[in-house]
Amino acid sequence: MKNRLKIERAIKDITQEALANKIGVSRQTINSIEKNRYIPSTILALKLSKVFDKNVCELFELEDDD
Amino acid sequence: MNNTQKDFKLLPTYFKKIAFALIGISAIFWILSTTKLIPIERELTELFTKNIILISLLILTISSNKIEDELTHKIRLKAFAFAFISGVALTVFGSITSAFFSFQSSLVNMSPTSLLIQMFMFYYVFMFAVKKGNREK
Repeated sequence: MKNRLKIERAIKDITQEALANKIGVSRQTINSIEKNRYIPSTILALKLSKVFDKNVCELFELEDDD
Repeated sequence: MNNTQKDFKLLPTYFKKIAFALIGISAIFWILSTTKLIPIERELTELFTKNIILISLLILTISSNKIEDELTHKIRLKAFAFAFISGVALTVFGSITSAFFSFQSSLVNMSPTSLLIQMFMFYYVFMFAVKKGNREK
């Protein structure tokens, strides 16, 4: 699964730390999601979509091997 | 955090300090008794120290971190699984070693306390490795 989290974060100009604080997770979690090492739960994905004001599908995209 | 994750009950973070204090107390007790400053039998000292360390490690393990989220829970569960599998592997390896090579290794004679302490060590090594890996990549 790929995601546009880093891009969206850059557009909004917020740090990993600030984003983590907004949705109540650690900075490491945001970093792991951005690096595709961790797939977030539905709740976390919805929280992220709310912060960036985007649909979950716009933030996360399935790949062929998923 | 969803309801299932909230059901994953952990002790408050300040319990980590209590656990470290207990380890400190048992270490002081052990030093005092081995240097004969306190006249206590060796067996009693070992029994006390091992059990306090075991309880401290358990408290450390089930105390929450400052930031507890779904990734932390996932790593924690993986670490528990790793520690459990390592404990079983250690026990089986000890039995097989003694059966094939007919000698009494320390693995065979391992007490439940020692096995549990080693399992906690495997847990911490796993947690440390995964957290460090997450930070560095």
